[in-house]
Amino acid sequence: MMPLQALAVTETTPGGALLVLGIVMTAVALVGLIGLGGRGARAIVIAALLFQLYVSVRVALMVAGTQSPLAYVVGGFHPPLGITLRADGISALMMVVSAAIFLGAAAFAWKDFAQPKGKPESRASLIFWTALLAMASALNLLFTSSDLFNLYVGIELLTFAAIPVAAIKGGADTLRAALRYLLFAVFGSMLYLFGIVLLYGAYGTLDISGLAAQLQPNAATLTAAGFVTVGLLAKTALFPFHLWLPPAHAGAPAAGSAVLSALVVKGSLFLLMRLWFDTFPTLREPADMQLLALFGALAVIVGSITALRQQRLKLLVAYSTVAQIGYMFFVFTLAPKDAGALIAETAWTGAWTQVVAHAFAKAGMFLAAGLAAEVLGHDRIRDLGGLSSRAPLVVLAFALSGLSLMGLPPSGGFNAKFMLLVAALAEGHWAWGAVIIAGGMLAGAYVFGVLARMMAEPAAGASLKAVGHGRQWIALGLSAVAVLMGLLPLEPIAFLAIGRAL
Amino acid sequence: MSPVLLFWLAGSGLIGLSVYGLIVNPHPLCKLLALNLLGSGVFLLFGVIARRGASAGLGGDPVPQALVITGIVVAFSATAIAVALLLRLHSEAGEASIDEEEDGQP
Amino acid sequence: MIFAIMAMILLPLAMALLLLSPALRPVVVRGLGLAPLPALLLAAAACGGSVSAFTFPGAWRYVLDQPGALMLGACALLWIIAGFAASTWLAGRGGRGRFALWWLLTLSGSLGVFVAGDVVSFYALYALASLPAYGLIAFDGGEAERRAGRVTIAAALIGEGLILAALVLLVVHAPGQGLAITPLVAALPSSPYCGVIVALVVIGFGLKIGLAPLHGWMPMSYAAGPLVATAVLSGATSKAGLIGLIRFLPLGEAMPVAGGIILAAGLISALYGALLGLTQTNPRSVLAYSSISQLGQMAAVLGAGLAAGAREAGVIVAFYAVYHVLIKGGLFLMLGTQGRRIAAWQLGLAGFAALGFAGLPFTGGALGKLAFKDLTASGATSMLFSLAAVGSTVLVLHFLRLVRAAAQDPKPQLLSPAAWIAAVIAATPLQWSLFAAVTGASANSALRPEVLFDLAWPVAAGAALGWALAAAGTQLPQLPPGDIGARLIAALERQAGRLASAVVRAETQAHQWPVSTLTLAAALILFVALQTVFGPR
Repeated sequence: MMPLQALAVTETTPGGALLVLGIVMTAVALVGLIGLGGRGARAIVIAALLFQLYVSVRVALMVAGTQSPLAYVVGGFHPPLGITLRADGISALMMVVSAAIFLGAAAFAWKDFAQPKGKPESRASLIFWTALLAMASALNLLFTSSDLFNLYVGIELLTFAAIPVAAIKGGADTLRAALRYLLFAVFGSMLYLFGIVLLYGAYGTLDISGLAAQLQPNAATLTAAGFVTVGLLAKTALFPFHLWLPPAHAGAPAAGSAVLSALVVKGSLFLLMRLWFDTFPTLREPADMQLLALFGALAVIVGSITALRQQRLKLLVAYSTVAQIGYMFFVFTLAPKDAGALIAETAWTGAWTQVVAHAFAKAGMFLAAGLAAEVLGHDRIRDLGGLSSRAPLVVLAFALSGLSLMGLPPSGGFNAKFMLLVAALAEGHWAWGAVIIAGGMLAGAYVFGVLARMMAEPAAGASLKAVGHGRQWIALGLSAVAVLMGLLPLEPIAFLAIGRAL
Repeated sequence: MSPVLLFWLAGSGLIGLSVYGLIVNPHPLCKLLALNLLGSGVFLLFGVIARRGASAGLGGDPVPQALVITGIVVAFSATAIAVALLLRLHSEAGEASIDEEEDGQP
Repeated sequence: MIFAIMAMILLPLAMALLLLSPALRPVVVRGLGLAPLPALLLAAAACGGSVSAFTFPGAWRYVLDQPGALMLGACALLWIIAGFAASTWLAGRGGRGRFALWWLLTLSGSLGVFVAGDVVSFYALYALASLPAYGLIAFDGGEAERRAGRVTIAAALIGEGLILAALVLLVVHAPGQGLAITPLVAALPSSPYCGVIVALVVIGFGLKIGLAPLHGWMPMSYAAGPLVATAVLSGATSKAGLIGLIRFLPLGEAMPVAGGIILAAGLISALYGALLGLTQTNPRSVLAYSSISQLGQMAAVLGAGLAAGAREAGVIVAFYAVYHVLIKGGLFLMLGTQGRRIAAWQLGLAGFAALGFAGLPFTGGALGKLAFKDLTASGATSMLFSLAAVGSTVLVLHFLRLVRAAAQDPKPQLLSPAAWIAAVIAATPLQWSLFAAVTGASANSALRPEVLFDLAWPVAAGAALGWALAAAGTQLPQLPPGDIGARLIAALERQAGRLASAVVRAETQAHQWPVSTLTLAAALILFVALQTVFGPR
């Protein structure tokens, strides 16, 4: 049995109020946005996100400094009646990552969604900025809440904020994609909610630590775990439940796609990891976890091959997200509860490295793809030629992101895959090891195919537009973070284990 | 048959019915209604579970009731967004279907 | 020295970054030949046999030892010569910035891989030496060139997958050894997966050096693209595979079975390449088959070394590789001068140098073959090596005949003859000056009559055989470049295409609403059932 007491929150810790700020300040700014109208929206959003970054970094520093999680008991009401917020190592990490990527995306969208004086305000612009803030707030709620129903609300908020971003371009295809996204996601959250109902019925609490402490492997619990898990799979777009992801992510504006692919799918994934490693660790059995790994493996292979066959750049990048999500699901089998601690921690670190490296790489790649489409006026992969001479930084950003997705060193993607591979081969999971390697090779093929096209001569009669340097540097900066993560040592990172029972 | 069992059966029936409709019925409006029905089923079961609190002398466990209200608000928001999207889709495309048309692939 | 290593790897990358600026682009293109200079200095300082290692924070480690330094020096020299030739060739040509980019990336990896001392650096630099080659091969080419590029990259990617598996297995089963190559390989013989790892290493790097039957991509690749690029790809980057074998085979440990298999595979490759090369009519393909044969011989020596537990096999092979780097690169550069007439003395010079591959006395190649003798002295092996030398002679004569008879190239590439002559002339004195340091024997020992006879008879036999074949007017069958390997590749391409189409169709099915939702329901039931059956009690 695990020392589950480590998870229990008793009192608000110093600095715990920061967690509330992380959720509430963006929400307050959001209200201001609606009240003050669209002209100043982007400035408010950037200010709110800067504050969010500051709060997140403070939280991370405090967690690292005290080597223990921050906690806040909302209103002084303790569970099971009240709700607690709690930030352990992975929460703090994801808060920082999410704030940084939101900030990058917002800066990128600064011009696209401007409300110039003298022109009537556009609704799309206000919707975009509002939704961006709402997503940022909802994600922080997901990262810090430790109440399953509160998490349900967070995950629904996230979906509802993501839908308008996916639909903002307004064409029939985009609306259709957004509708599919919404209906499928709500189906998923209903399954999740049903699981929660069963858990409440069995234990009378929805607090993560409270549940973990009294969990019994009876029929109700197992069924509940199944519903909760499958519901979240639908929200994470794990193959074959990805029907909404490629069209929705490819149909959004570049900054929106970046956030959707880099962060929003990670919200439900975060919750899934939280559940299986903090709430249900005692239920984690190799056989059922193999099912998740099997879906992950299928995602890697099918997603990569489908990406290879795409003819539109944004769809290729979106299918690459389907594939990259797959890797993260190996952690459920590769960090078994009875394995040597070192291997389990290696897999754990590998999975989180993958989450973060993919977030930065994919954000950079979607922004680069957006810029490419702007330069060329289309995103047909066949006719990408000339991009390298017109916008070399865009190609560089794409290449650096691609390096991480392929898993070539030095890059965060390599570190992630190397550590997952070490865990897989150490535990004799040969098939998963082979999939991890094959996925890297396939990613190499699709990234290389695009790069080769980008480096080619421009097609006859193509007219290439110039794009601003600022946005190119933002894309490059995000991609560069994914590459720089490759400088981290290839060993378990202690920060990720803070406040965990693993 | 005790009333609790009756409610359990009714809730489960609603859930089964709505999942069937959700999978099978192609029209997005029907899917949306099915999702609402699914929500109702889940909330009904949650209400039944709240009855357990009655043993403590209360009229019912207040926590599920609070949660059900929140859940209804969430489901309502989802419905509102979906309807808005449906209307936009109908005015853009002249029909409302979520089946992909060849996926934008030439 | 640590700065020299950094400079060697980073200078080409920095130059590649400078290509972003349109103003600096022509300057960088003109300076391509200067990028490998740090490597040359580094190699000159270390080819005497000293070993120096540097560990950077973050476990990056660089090692400069004798095998690495020998090949590093030769490759740097070739890259310098070819770099100047490329600058001249690129002047006034469209897309030169692009060519320079791929060139510099390949250069950085190709040189860096010789000093990489930990598995991560090695894997990174090895990939850098392999993948950007696509841009060089497909440069300005049509569909055939792009296909050659694709095939090359596919081979490289598959090789890298196998190598990654080998590296991770090495790390996993030597816990606490860190990531440095030397201790990991020292622990390899006691690993429970020793056989698997060695097999992965041999197949992975064997793909790079075209070990038959993994050679199909090589003639395709070397027959496409600008010759100045082929020169460095065949001369320099193929040695990344060789250094991989040297680094990752536990050469100090006697492993008779694994060694024997590698020896056999190498010898088969050596004979196969020499024989099948005769069926080619394109001089570029002939040179590719000659590479298959030569690299096969080097692999065979490594195999013999592994079987005997002879650590010095690495140095011996690297020593011979020096000659192969410069001559093979030089011969490809020579083909690039076609369109001008190749004078008789030039053909003679090329012939003399190329016959070094067969061990013609007084050439640098002969010294390399002499160094082999320690490891290949046993009867049958020695006989087979002599047979390979006979084959090499016939192949070289075939090549010379093709060059002499070659019609005007429809797309002459017009490289300066100075480049290939410099490469070819540099090789032999270089080998003579290194001989003592590598083998410990004096250079005079290579001039003893019995040694000369040993070296000369296969060449003479080969020459007689070649003459006889020509005189009899024997027409050998003509095969497409890559022979059965090319067939294999074409079949794989078809199958892969079919598989990919099937996967895409399946994916299209999977993202239909009813399919996806039903799978979700099925997954739920399956998951709960699995938990109930296998789950905790």
